[in-house]
Amino acid sequence: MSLLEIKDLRVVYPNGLEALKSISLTAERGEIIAVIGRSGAGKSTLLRCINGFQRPSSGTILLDGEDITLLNDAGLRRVRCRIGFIWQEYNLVDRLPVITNVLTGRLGYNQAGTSLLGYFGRAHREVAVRNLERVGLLDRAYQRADKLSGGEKQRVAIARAISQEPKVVLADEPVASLDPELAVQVMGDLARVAREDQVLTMINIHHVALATAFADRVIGIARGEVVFDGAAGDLTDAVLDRVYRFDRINNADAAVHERQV
Amino acid sequence: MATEVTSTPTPPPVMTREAFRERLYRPLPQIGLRTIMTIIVLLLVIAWGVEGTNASPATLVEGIPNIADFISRLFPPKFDPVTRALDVPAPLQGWLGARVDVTYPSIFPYVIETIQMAMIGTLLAIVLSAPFGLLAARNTAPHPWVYSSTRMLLNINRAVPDIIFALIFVAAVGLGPFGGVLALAIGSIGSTGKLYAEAIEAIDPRQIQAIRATGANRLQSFRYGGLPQALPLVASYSLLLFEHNVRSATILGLVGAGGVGFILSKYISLFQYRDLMGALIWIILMVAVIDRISDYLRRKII
Repeated sequence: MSLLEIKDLRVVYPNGLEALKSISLTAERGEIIAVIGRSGAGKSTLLRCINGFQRPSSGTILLDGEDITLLNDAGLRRVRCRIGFIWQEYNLVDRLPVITNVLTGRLGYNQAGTSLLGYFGRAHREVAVRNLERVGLLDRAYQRADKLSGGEKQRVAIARAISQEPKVVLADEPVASLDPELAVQVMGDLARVAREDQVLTMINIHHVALATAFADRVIGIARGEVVFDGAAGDLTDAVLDRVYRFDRINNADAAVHERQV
Repeated sequence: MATEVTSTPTPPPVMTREAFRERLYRPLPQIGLRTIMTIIVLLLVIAWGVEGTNASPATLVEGIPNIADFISRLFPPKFDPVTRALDVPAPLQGWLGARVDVTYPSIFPYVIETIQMAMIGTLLAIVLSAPFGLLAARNTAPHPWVYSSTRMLLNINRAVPDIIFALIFVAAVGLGPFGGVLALAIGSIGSTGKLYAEAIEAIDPRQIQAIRATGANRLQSFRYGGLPQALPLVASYSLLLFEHNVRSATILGLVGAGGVGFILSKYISLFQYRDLMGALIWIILMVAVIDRISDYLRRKII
């Protein structure tokens, strides 16, 4: 049994937009997968389905054999404990110190009322401190999150996600707001901790060079469908044309239409 | 110079990595002398407030029978209906006759007058507060002095209770709702001007900069880059001001500045508590309806 099995996933938004047509894929523990595709291809929708932010219109998502599309709110919260999420804009809580931001990754395991008073037991704190150290920011522990640079913020976000001791980490354009140099460093950190912890990591990313440099496997999505799924090394120009330039090959009208929409 | 350096407190010894980790592991923050002092000071301040206001649960409990007695005198409410013969307008005369008797609670015309006062008072307040808002916002004030002196003026205005403005304007324009309108308009500038200034200060300067970069002048940049950002908050504050003024307007009648307040004070001084309750019910209805309408408008704007 694979860790993650997605079958015939389809998402139609209330406004009629078909974000995902039919997505099927399986993924194993410890894999690092880059999901590439144009804006609006459905990459974000796919990730949001996996952690239950988006209810699919049809299809199944099995995580460890459990269909998360059938779960109620309590069930989703339980599953989300094991799914880390990393955002393009970091989404740290600006007014909280770095260490508290990382400790929020432990909230799913620390649901006692005392957590609302700021109490985390030593075991939780050790996890947070260890992970903050792994991304090289231990000395920033007491600083407010909004005092950090973009690259540091994303590293704290990685520490927060990994402190959930997740089975899956989902990263939605984690380095799109960073300069190229920082992007390489942050991707390196993300891939390193994911490999060390053997966490399945799915990274939505525009940047094809970064995708092939850090991922084992690449999934290309175009118009809500998987058009490529293979090793990073097999990503040829022909494949990239299918993922990114499907409309320019013989259908210039569609490109114009898309721009107008 | 050297003495200054030695007089500063010595920096804390550099922590070893181990010690720093250990500090982070502590589940509870260390309660230092400063925390304890802060708590003591807070408790003293609270005690001082309780002392000064004679706040005591026992007195309140003893007073409960009096409250019950007072409330019992409010019931059943009386609506003091009046009947007036009204001239029917010409087009309807064939249908209703030349004159028709209309019965309504005597408070009714005063409720209407209160709403009219709040409406016109608020409108004037908005017009008068807008320039003060611009001058009291750090990012639009032409000079820091203008900023601080405008803030000072607004503070003075806020410190004066509405009822004092009502007294002044009743003396100026005589008894009646116009004095109340002026009291509401002038009395609101302090708080409204400040709120407008806060809304303007929340403007993101980058959007204005983008308009400036097109070669637009300062006023144009504010009009196209700043105002659209501030408008939802300004509109929302203006509606809150209207709601507030409806409630304020019910009080101003106590000093003869129009609205239901005059009737309320009459009922109170003549011990007509059941009539007072009837009037209160109408006022509560009026305030509730206006709050709902203004809530609806606010949602539309934001």
